[in-house]
Amino acid sequence: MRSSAAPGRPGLPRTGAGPGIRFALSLASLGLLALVLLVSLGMGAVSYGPRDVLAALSGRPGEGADPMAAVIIRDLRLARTLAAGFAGAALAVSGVLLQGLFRNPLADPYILGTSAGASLGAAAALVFLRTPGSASLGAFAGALGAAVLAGAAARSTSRSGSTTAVLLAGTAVSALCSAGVTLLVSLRQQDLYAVYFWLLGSFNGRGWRELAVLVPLAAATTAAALVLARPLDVLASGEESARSLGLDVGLLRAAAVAVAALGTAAAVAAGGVVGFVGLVAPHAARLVFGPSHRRLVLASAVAGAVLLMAADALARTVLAPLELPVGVLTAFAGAPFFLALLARRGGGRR
Amino acid sequence: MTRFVRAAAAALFACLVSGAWGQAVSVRDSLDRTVSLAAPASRVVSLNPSATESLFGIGAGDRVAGVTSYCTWPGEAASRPKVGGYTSESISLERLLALKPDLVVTGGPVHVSIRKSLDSLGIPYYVFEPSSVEATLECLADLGALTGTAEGAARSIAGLRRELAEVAARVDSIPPSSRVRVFWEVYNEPLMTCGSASFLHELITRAGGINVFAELEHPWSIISPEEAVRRAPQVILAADDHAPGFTARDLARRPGWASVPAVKTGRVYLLPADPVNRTGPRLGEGLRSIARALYPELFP
Amino acid sequence: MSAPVLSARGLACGYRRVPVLRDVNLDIPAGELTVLVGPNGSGKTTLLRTFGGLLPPLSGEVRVRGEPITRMSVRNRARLAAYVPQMETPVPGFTARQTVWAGRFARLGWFAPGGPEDDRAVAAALQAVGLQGDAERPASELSGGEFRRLLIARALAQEAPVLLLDEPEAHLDAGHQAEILGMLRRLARGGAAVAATIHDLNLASLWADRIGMLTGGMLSPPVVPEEALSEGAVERAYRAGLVRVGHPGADRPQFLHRPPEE
Repeated sequence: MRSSAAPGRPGLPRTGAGPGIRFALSLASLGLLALVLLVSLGMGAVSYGPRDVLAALSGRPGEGADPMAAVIIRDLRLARTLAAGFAGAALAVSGVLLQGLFRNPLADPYILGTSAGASLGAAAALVFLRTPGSASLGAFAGALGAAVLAGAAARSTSRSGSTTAVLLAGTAVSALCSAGVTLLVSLRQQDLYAVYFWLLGSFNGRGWRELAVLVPLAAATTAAALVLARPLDVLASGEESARSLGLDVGLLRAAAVAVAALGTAAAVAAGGVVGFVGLVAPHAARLVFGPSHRRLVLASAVAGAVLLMAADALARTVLAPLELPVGVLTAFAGAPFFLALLARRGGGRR
Repeated sequence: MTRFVRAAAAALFACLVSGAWGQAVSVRDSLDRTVSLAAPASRVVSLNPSATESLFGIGAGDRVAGVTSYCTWPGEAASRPKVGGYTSESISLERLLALKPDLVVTGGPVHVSIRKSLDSLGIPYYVFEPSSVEATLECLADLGALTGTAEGAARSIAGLRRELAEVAARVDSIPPSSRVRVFWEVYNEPLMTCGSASFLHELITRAGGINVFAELEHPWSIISPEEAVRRAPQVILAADDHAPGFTARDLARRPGWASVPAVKTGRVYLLPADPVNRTGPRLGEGLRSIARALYPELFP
Repeated sequence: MSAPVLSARGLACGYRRVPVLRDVNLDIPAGELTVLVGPNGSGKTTLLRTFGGLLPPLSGEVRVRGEPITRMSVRNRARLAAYVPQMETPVPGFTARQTVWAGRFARLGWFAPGGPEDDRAVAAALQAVGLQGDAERPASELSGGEFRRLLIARALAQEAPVLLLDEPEAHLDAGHQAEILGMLRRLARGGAAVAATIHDLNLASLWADRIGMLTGGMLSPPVVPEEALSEGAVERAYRAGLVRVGHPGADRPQFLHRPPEE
């Protein structure tokens, strides 16, 4: 059996499990994904059982089935749930890339200023353009723009372009964009609520059109992240060691930042600024599958998809017919997870 | 009702007895505070566009010394000196003071901090935040009393009551089973509608419509598009300050919405925003615009 | 002395335009263990890092197999010179084998899938440092000494003709010190060009083929230990009165501290 692309092909996951168990875990994750998808499609202001869901999806409603079920499940919930899934995957993969690049498990996809940039872009679009879908476009452009700005600022100010410089530049860009949003909203107060609600993060009303853009971007992000997996593993030993091992750290940095920015921009364009997914999903994946990036990228994508699909389903069910912003639910799940993680680390873990 | 009678009587008495100089006035505002003036106000700064419309509507326009940048109706109001925008933070206290007001009319929760400043400066203010049509009429009367234009206020109120009665008369003739089910879209991303505590809901009800989300109390709620589709409204309405892309064709393109009766029959209407959103003298106009959309045969 | 694999001419090295060492001329030939000694702060690590291409030379040049290293790509450099740092933190979650596998990166790059020759190189490297039995253990569970041996294994996995090690004997117990230094000599005899900075004069004297001393910002040309470590040179460099004695089992100088005054 030929080795695959990353170091650790002969290596085993941290759990000390054999390749058989790893395969089983992978299957289990895919199974979880399918299960969450199915259950999410049944959840909402009206609940449908798995049989109704499958019938609606296959286009053959059973006798006595609610005729609205097919419309709601196929036309409304399916595209929305898939959008949440792909956005979650994109955020999680971006999180993995940045956590690997900064060698810091607390890095999240918004660290480059992408969330503030997306906010500014969306706000500008909502205030000046006011056409349907312009907020998404604005968010995408803003997120990418912020990341590019942060990267460029880091490169021009630090001679060798250090990773710390990117972090600092991202913080500065974040602050700048946030101020921009506040300014815009002060000048055009009648649009205040529109901006606020868009930014809270929600997949309310997202459909096939949003998916058509999101899916290729999310797929491209994941594929690119897999290419970056091995260099990120090498970088894990430290920048200088990585350089002595033959890694062009500057190139990796630029590539990781670019791919993470793309993934984050795509996710934000689809669902607004949803927090915690890009932070929590990689952690959960790492706990089960270990730190090798090739496995981590795929596992995080699945974890992110599961997390966000579940959060979106709950967002439209918990207080039906009211909808909560999905970011509220990811925070409710993410915060306790994080505290638990901290408690575990404090308990003498190496 | 008693408030209205008391205020009107006091104002009438004041008008009969005095001419140039006024008598002391006392009313209760939307927060149930007592607002007392030694004499009717002659320099009023209005921080609320609905209040501005009301002041001009009752004939107290010449007493309006300052407005906000959102006070757009009538034309004269827009040309008065501006003191700021919508929120407390955007109001310039200096500009306001420079206008030497003897009465300030504020909005409700959005102006809490401005009111604190007015308290410490000892400037009397009236909180204008009616939550129903009836409350709006009372506020009109109060403003009339406070500005010494009680007659004008009474005329305005009478006119509005006539409009309301006209609409009610035609609407009452509609049997409950033929009442139109309405979905009012406040915003589309996320999808928002109005609940039973909102002014819009009352207008819809008075126009003979049934708000499909009537069970929600809160004035504004984010709701699930699935629910909106499931409740199959016959007419979909929105104010014309809604984001562009609000026609039957646009709504049909939303996934799942093509099955909604309102979309199938093309009964998707944009109504002029200010008359339906502002609680002022134009509410009759707003009500009629809704009634016309719901029952075009009854309201040509 | 066989053909030098790494040579420095007129090299000045340091940080941010402040030279730590000036006018260094050095040849590191294949087949020999060249050791650099010097007091703290004399620039041993700086020089070694410059040789490894981790620090750009301030002036002069470093060539590996005739090519200036500053003109090489990062990857080519890693194929020609392997560098073992003094300190590194193990990556949580990686096994010993995964850590050593990173040494194959120079040959494989970002894309190429690994093959049996890579597995063989990794296994051989682990064997050379005596850690083949610990291959599947998490690297963070290894002792300090074991981890340093692991880093040497990683450098070996690079299969580079030049091996540069910064104080490889530090923090190891006597047994492991002998083991590591013996291994380095064997590698040198096997054809590698090995250069190491060594803190302990006595170890350096025993194991090195040639020793170069760093003092006052200059490097003395490497010669056999007997010549390099004269009493005067050592006293000048270390500013300590050390007693020079001969090793009972070899023709190599050893240095003892003077007894403390009563």
